Amino acid sequence: MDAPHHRLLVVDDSNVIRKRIERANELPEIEFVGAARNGREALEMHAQLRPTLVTMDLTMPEMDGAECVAILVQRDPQIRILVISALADKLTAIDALEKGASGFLCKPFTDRQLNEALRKLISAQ
Amino acid sequence: MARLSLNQRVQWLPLALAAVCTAALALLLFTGVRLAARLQSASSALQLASGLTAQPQLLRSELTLIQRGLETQTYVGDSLRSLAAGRTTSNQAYARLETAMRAAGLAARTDAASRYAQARTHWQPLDDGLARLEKTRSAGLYADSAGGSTLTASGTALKRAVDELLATQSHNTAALAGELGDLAALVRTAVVRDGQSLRTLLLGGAGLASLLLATMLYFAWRAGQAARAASEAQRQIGNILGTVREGLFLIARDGRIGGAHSDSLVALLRAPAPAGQTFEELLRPLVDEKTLLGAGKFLGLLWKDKVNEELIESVNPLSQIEVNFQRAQGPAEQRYLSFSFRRARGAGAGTDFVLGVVADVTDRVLLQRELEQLRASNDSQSSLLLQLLQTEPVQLQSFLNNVEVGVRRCNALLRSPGIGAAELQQKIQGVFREMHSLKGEAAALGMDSFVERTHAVEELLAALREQAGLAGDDFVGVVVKLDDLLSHQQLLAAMQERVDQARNAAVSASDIPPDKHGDTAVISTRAAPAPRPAGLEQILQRLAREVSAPGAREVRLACEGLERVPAEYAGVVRDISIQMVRNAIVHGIEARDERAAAGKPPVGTIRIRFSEASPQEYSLLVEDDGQGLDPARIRDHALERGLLDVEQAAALNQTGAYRMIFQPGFSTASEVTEHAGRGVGLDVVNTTVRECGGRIGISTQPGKYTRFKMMLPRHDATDPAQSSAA
Repeated sequence: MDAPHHRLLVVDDSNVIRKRIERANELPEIEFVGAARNGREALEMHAQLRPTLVTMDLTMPEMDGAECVAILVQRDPQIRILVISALADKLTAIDALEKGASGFLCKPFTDRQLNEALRKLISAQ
Repeated sequence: MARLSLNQRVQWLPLALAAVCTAALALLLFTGVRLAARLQSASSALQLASGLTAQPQLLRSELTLIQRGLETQTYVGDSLRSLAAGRTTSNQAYARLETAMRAAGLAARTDAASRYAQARTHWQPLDDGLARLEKTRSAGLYADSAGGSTLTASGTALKRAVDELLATQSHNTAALAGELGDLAALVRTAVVRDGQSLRTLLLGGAGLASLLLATMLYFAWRAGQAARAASEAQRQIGNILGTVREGLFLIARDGRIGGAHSDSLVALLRAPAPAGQTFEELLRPLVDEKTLLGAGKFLGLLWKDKVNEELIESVNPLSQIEVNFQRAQGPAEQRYLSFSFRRARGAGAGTDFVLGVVADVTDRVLLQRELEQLRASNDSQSSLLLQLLQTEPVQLQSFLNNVEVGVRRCNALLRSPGIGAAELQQKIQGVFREMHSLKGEAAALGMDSFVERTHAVEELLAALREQAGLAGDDFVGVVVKLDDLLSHQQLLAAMQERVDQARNAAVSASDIPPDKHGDTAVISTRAAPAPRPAGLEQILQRLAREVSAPGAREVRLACEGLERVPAEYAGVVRDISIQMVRNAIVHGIEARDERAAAGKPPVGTIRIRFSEASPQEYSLLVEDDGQGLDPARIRDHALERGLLDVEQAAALNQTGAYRMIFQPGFSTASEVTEHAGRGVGLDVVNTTVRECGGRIGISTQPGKYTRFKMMLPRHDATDPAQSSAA
């Protein structure tokens, strides 16, 4: 029996943040499977990669995070989405939670905070 | 939950008991009523049976009376009527007895029933006889004759019938009386038994009623206790709600505020009657539309049970809001409120209502702000210190000098006459150039605080450059910024001085021979006044190494008496000597091969000597064995720089030419370098010396040497003695 396995898709328009999340993740049960630059790309990659976890930036070009969250949750109600956004836009965060996101992390964040948030995300029922 | 079920069991027990008691009592009463009815019937049966027992004897007496009457020919009509009445009464009594016996349940008893049947059997012939007797006429019984009265035929018939009845029924009557007597005894027994049953029943009923009463009393006691507990709880809740400083309130699913809320809610929100309003209505006067919208959505999340509560709290848009309460007069009162929310659950699943808590956090917010400012200022102080420590002291010193010179020059430029548009533009240009070059230098050194400040001046100037119709007043902002830049420079210079002192102290301490290197020795060394001149020599040596170019232009620095510089001149001497040494290397000492060609030693020499020239003055001598000053070159350069016009240049004598090098903006360096590219220095030296009340003398010989001699007034005659003693 394998340990519980989670497939992580990182969605962020910043290359730096994408790389950072990929590198910062130190949970053995989470496997990084891909990174998307915007909501549209995230939807395409979701169809191919079937991730179980997603970290989602909220303000992105093409399709914004909240909208993408809604679609992903509709496609896969079991998917767990960690919304990453600046503290300033609480309203957007509320929107995302309303649309089905499972977690919220404020920018700027430390690696420890990110790992903590991911751990909470996968341990939540 | 367990407590609740226990409570329920405790309440159910007496309730069931009461119900059972009530049912039993009802049954008992019903039975009692029936028993009483039976008893009543039995009693009347007893009465009737007793009455009937005497009847046969009465009838017999009556018959005997008639018999005697007929024999004596007396009147027997009354007796006959009485006999008839007795028969009717008896017949009625038998009928009533039968009914009563049936009602009393005696008819079902074989002994009673058979006695009754026997009695009836014995009564029947008597009854028949009496019926026949009645048919006999009572009148005309006697006929009067000579010999007296004699019986008529009917009289004779009557007598015969009575005689016969008495003869035949004598036995029957006795049997009847016996049967009726037995029946009466039976009925009496039944009555007694029924009476006992009824008594037992009534006793049981009384017991049950007592039990019921006890149960009811218990209920009443419990209800009273519960009411007391409830009112106590109510009072306590009231106390809590009345004294708690936070505003506590409940929000129902429809968004309405519950009736029970803490008193402070009214005071905190300045809302007259929060209860019954929706939360949105309560919030509307306090926050802007956007926050209100966010709060509404946020509240919506709280009702969604699957969203984690902790998560929700992290996006609470009301965790800290600034509100402005209008006052009757004066400006609005600004407060900071913090709302937090918790889901409150009742017995069932799901959220029943949301508990809202609002607190006034104004003091905390303001304190926090103050702390942040303090921290920011501490940060900037420490980052400044860090900048200082990270920068090479000599470079830093020269940079700080440059800033001072630059700002002074800018100020001089701004103060210089000329209010025409072209002149003002020229001034802007000049200041801009200074700032720009200082900014570049600051950036190269990583002195961010200077980059920011010089940039701020540039921005202002850029705006002014675009502005039409410039006036002198428009420069006020620039002057203020320049002042800020200068005071920042002074702050850094002061800090650097202290850092130097600390460094020097450390250096001095390590210079002490090991055997003296005790704590006391260290302390006494550190306590020595004006330790900086010892460090100054090191700074100058470092500067000389820094500025000279190994292999191309080399310098040897010889210092003398710098350790005797009194504290009052420590800063001045340092500034001057740094400037002069740099100047001497860049402008005085020739390149190695040049020197060789001129027959001079390849390594140049700079001498610095500080001494007490007289009781009134100190002297600081700076001398290099370089190329000397060339009046012609100075003149050309001044012309080039616009410091002189052609006529002035022609009229300039040798001394005048030497003086030119102290003019602001004069530089003889033909190429821009890190160390002297800005061509400032000597004018600062000049200014500094003059500010101290001193003077500068120059002597030079082209190709041989340049010597600057600065005389600084002594303010305290005892000072040098102390200083040299140290």
